[in-house]
Parts: sequence; structure tokens; C-alpha cells
Amino acid sequence: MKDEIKHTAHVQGLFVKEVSRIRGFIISMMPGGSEVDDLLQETFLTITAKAGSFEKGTNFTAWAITIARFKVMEHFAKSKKRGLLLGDEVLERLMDEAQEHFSENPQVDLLKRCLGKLSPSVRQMLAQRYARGWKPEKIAAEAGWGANSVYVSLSRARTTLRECIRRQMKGGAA
Amino acid sequence: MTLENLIQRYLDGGLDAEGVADLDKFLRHSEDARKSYWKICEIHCLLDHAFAERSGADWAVPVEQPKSVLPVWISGVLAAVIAVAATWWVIQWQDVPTSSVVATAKGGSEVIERGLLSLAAGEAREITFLTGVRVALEGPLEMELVSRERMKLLYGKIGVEVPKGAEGFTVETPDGEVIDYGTRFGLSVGREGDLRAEVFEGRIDVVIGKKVHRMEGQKSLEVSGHTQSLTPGSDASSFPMPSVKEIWGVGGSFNTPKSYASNRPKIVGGWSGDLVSIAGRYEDVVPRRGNGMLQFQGTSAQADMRSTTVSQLWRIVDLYEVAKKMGRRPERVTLSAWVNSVTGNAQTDRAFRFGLSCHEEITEALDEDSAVTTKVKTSLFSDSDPGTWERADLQLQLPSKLRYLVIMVGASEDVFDDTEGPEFEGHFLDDLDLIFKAGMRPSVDIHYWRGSEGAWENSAKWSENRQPSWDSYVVIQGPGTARIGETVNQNAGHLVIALDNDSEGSLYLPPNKTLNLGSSEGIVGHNQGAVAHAHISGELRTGGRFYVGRNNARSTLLLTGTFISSDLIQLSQYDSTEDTVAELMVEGGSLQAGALRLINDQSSVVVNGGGTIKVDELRLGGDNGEATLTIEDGEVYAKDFILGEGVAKARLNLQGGLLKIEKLHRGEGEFQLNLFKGEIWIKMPVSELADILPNSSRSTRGEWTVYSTY
Repeated sequence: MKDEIKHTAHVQGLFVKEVSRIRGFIISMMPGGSEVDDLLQETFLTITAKAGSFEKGTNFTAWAITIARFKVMEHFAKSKKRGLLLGDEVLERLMDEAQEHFSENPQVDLLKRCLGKLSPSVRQMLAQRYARGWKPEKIAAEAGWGANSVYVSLSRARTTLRECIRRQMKGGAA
Repeated sequence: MTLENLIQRYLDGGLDAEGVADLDKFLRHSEDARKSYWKICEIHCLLDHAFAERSGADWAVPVEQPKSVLPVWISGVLAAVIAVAATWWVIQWQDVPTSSVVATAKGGSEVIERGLLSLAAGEAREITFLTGVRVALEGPLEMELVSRERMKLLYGKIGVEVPKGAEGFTVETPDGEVIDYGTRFGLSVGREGDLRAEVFEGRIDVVIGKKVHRMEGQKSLEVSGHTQSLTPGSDASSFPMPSVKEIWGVGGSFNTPKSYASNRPKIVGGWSGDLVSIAGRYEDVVPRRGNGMLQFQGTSAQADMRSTTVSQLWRIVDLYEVAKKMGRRPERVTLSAWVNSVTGNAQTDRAFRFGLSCHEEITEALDEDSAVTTKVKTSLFSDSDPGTWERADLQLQLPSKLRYLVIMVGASEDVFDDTEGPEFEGHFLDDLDLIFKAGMRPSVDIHYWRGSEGAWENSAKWSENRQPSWDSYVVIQGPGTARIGETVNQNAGHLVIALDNDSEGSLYLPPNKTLNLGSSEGIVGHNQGAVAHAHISGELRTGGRFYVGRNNARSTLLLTGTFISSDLIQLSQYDSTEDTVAELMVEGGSLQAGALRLINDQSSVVVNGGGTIKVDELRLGGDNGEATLTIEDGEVYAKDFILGEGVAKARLNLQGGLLKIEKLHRGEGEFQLNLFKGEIWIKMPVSELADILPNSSRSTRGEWTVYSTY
């Protein structure tokens, strides 16, 4: 019994270590990102409940993402907004191919350097979107813009950041 | 939308069912598309990760409430984690409770919910409560929207207009309240609680503690500490005022069934100009608003005459009248209108023109060229889809001493393929608005950006004697006109007009003034939705690159003076995704540069009024959009002229004047030459030109091959 508690604690510890990847996986599947925290919580609870079935030494992230994947699909099955979601077939394919994209370490430092190069208003918009979890419509209303501008600006900001990170990585390697 | 945009919008939760279906199709069939999906998710997740992390987030804007407590979690030791685990789910980001909408902004296109609203110094907004009460706000300000009939002003300055039926609108202040009985009034509350209320029309009650001040007619009340003084008279100019929208016909939508055709305008009000009429539905074109729209038909007031290549209308507006309606002098005007045309064919002209100018008096031939002290112009091309309307907008600062504003709208020939005249087979304008504003963002904001690594260090108001400092960006944002008080020194810093998304900015460089940017860069219109105008009447000198229109900004550079650049002047940019509008109008001015490049989207150069352009390299079309060079009256000289690169569409219109080229290079893109009048001289033998330009009407003069219409 004691071993079981220890094992569960170990699995929970792994979850904590990998939480940003698991969260990342969920975010990637949830348009708008509204129920991400709930799904992450459910994943955590299931992982705790099923800790016994996790074998030490095997790939924890893969196991956890499988559980998160199950939670996501379960959520979609209940969801009322089906029309605004990708079809199951595509979702399954995407998730099949997810693993390889969650192996690298996130380049947070590079991202921060690149964020510094954006204009303050764009940085503020990203903060509203990601730190506060605002919907683009709310950001738009707050800033006195059209929602479309916000969507376009967010897209453009991400593209700029990707490009900047890519350049920084190149520069760093040289 | 591109695949990348579809994915991004999907992740932001903003893709409609149709878009989702498109994306589904992409992702189903292509592994590469799915790879793109995950690539975008990488940055999406990285941002989420970075912003959720609170420690060391010095680059981020302050965030009052983190979304979750995860970061704390991560940094905690395992034992603590397990203890916390049971409870942390409870601590969730509390979203603002669903509150009802109480007001709108931007002509109803945006909704504002109950709650706090604050503006920084220099910022301004205008909101309309659902009751119809309009409030102009000027920062620094903090307020709360309480309900449709009530707001709280904690500090700041407002101007309020209460229409009939909305009486009783109440503004709470820290020490009392102002109740309105149908009027216009201004109210300012200082951070120390001092208050000033002025009524311009009608009646308000100002309640301070137990005392009620009934203010009627023109009165002002000042409250500071225990002193309360009520005096006759009021001055609207110290308050922001809700903008005034001029409405013609029914909502400016041209529903009145009559022709406006006549000659140039002589009196205030009413449209006059060339032959136009009001049409209902015309082929596939349906009026944008109401059941009528303006149709441009001829280039003269008579049906059988042709005077110019533009079918246009003018209207004179008396700014004194506007000032009366508004309660104070308007400081800025915005013209917005929608245009459309029938499908037509390759010959169908698609250009529309708009102009705003200010005049001291009404003269015999009052048009946008006479007695002008300030003006802006823009043009816009309709697409070949009659199902969509294209929007034009234009802003002008209104100088205080000029009484008359002249508006010009018109359809213009842009495919010079004949001698008969423009093909106005169905050219329409509808939904025209003219919006006057005052007291909104009263001055120009200037931000300094230091060095390449730098952060935004400070922002300051522009003043005439404040000179931009070394190695800094001068960002001109806001409707104020930055007047260059005196010659600015070399290395003045980068000049950016309208930097941020949806910002507006304008620069007017008066005659006899020189602005020298040294080796710094200049940018007119930098970001999505920005609207930037520069009018160079004096002299602008640059040694660095100069950009007009980037990232979907709408930018206009009007040159009636001199512009000398030893480097590149670029209109629009490579990889422009949507609709950057970049325009350079050389109207009697002269431009000299190392290179002038028209890259993408709607980039165009118009030379008229005897203007000149002299460059080593002239590039027409560089990416995938449309680039147009029109010479109406003037001279353009280029050592190397590169025509249509990439998949660009290059259009060269000669309506008069002279184009002189030493060496002509032909790219692989599409190219259209409209030689209507004027001449093209190329210092190349005919044999080398045979594949590039059409064979017709050319002759040889010494080393030059000359193309002309005669």
C-alpha cells in the first residue's frame, strides 16, 4: 500500500514536470482555449487514479498525452459547438502525429527576447490573450478595434515571433 | 485565407463553419498541412507557457491576475504539490461575469459592457450609450459604465450630448452627481476631486453634497475644496465633444431620385460637378445602404461632352456651421465612402478618387486645387466583383482659420486604351460619411525607441521646440498634425507615422521647412489598420530607407515640395498578405532617390501638376500584388526601369508628360501599358525592345527609341 502511494506521488511528480507539454497538447486541440484548465484538471485526476497502470521507465509524456487525448475527445463528444470543430477523422490524425512535436524543449528565453521586439500594443494584446485568457472579441472591445484586426494581429505576431525565434536559433548556433 | 491563417484563426476560436470545413479538407489530405498545424501550435503553446509564468516576466505588461496557479505549482517541491493538488483546481481565473452591453463605440461596430474604462494621457474615445447619449472621453481618465442611463467619472474630462428622450442621464462624480435634462455639457474631474462643469445648451443639475446647482443656458461651475462658484458663460473648447456626422440625403446613401449634375460648386451645401445620377439596382450591383446609390456617368456636366478623364462631384461644407452644431471648432474630418463597379472587362476603368481640402473663401473656380492651404487625396480601385463594395477613407486636419471644406469624390479613367473616354459602365458610390471631430487626442504622441535592443523608454507629447533625439524613433500617432517648427538636425532619428495597429497619424511639413532624417529610416504607416498621411510641402531629406505602407496599413504621401533620398523609397512590402495601400502623389513637387520600388498590393504613384521623379532604379511590381505608375502631367526619369517581377501586375499609365528610361528590364510578371498621351523615351535600340513593348507607334531619335500615340 505504501508503495502504491509512493508510485502515485512519483507519477504526479512526472505530471508536474511535464505539465506544460500536456497543457500544450490540450491547447493545440481546443479552439479558443476556453476549457483547457478543466481538461488539464481531468487529465490530472485520471492520471492519479490510473497511476498504477503506468510502468516506471516508459515514456510518461506519451502516456499522459494519450489520457489527455481521451479527455479531449470525450469533451468534444459532449460539446454543442460541433460545427466549429474539425472532424473526428482529422482530429485523430492530428493527434496521432502529435508526439513528435512535443519532444523539444520550449525556447522560452528566445521567445522573451523576440517579444521585446514587438510593439507595446501587440505585446499587450498577447498578454491579454495568453495571460488573461481573453477572447479576441474582448480584446477588440477593450482596445476599441474590430475583432478582425485582433485575429489578424495575433496571427501576424505569432508569425513574426516564429521567424524571430528561428533566426535567433540560427544566430545562436553560428 | 491561407492555410496558416486558417489554422491560427481556428486556434483563436474565430473560424466560422465554412472556414473550419476548408481547414478540415486541408488537414485531411495533407500531412504537410498537419505539420504546419503543429508548427503553429508550437508558438501558440510557447506563448501560453511564457505568459503563464509570472517570475521574471519583466517584458510583459502588468497582469493583475494570472490565469492559473500552475507556475507556483511547478516551482513547488513535490510534497507541497501533493498537498496543494486537492485545492488548486478551485482557484481558477475568474472571468468577468457576463454583463450586459450598455454602450457602443465606433459607430456601433463595437460593444462596451458594464465596467471600468480607463484612458491614458493623450488617449481619447467616443462612446454612445444605448439610450443615444454620446460621450466624448479624453485621457487621462477613469470611469465606470454603470448602466445605460448612468456612469461614474472618477477623474478625467468628458463632453456629453443627451438627445431628446434620454433626459435624466446621470454622471456620478466622487463627491456628487450631474443630472442632465437634454443638453450638451462638459465635465472635468481632477484627481484631487476638484470639478468643473459647463453647460453649453439646455439644463443640468449638479448635486454636490446637499447642494443642488441648477445650470441653464451657458454657465460654468467650479468646485475646489469647499469653494463652489457659478459663473455665466462657458467655453466648449476645453472639453472633448462628441463628433458630428454630416448626413446627406438619407444617411448619405444617395436615395433621393435626382441628378446632381452641374458645374463646379459655388455655394455651400448640395453636390455639383459632372454627370451623375441615382441608380437603384444596376446589373449585379445592389446599393450598399438604402435603395439608391450614386452612379458616375460622364466627365462633364453634359452627357455628350468630355472635359477630363474623371467623373467627379464636389461639395462645399461651411465649417462654421459644423462648429455650431458641434459646440466647438472641428479639428479633424474623416471621409468614408464605399465604391463598386460592374464586372466589366479588361478595358473597364476601376479607379475612384477622393479629396478633401480647406479654403479660406469661396472663389470662382473653387476646387481642390485653388487657394488650398491643406489637402489630402487618395484613390482606390474597385475589384471586378460587383458583389463586394470597397471602402475608401481619408482624413484631414482642419486648420483653425479656414472656413470652407471641399469634398471631392469621383470615378477616374485608369485604363487608357482608347480615344473615346473612360469606360464607366456602371460605377457607383454609396454610404458616404463625413465625420467631424474635436478634442479627441488633442496632441501628437511621440514615442522614443532607443537602440536596437531597447524597450519603450518613454513617450512624450510633441511640441514644436522638442526635437527628436539621436537614435530614436519619432512616432507620430494621433490625429494631431506634427508641425516641424524649424529645421531638424541631421540624424534626427527614425520617423514613423502611425506605428501601432489601427493608429492614425499625419505629418505636414510646411513650405520653407526642412526635415532631415540623416541616415535614419522613415515609415509612413507601419502596422495593421494604421492610417497614415504625410504631406511634404517643404523639403524632406533622407539617407536611410523610406517606407510608405507596411503590414496592411493605408498610407499616403503627398508631395508638393521636395523629397531627396539617397537610398530607397519603397511602397508596400514583400510578403504583404492582404491590403496594404501605399500611394505616392507627386503634385508639382519633385522627388529624387536612389531607388523607388512599388512592390505589392495597391501601390501606386501618380505624377501630375508638372511634378518630377528622378531615380537610379524604378521598380514597378515586385511581389504578387498590383503596382501602378500614372503620369498625368510631369516627368519621370529612371536609369534602370524594372517592370513586373514575381507574379506582380505592373501597370503603366501615361496620360501626358514624359517617361525617360536608360535601360528597361522585363520581369516575368504581368504588364499593362496604357499610352494615352505623352511619350516614353528608352535609350535602347528597337530590336531589344521588340519583346517588351508593343510595336505600335514608335520612332527613333538618336540613341533613343520613342513611343508615343502619334
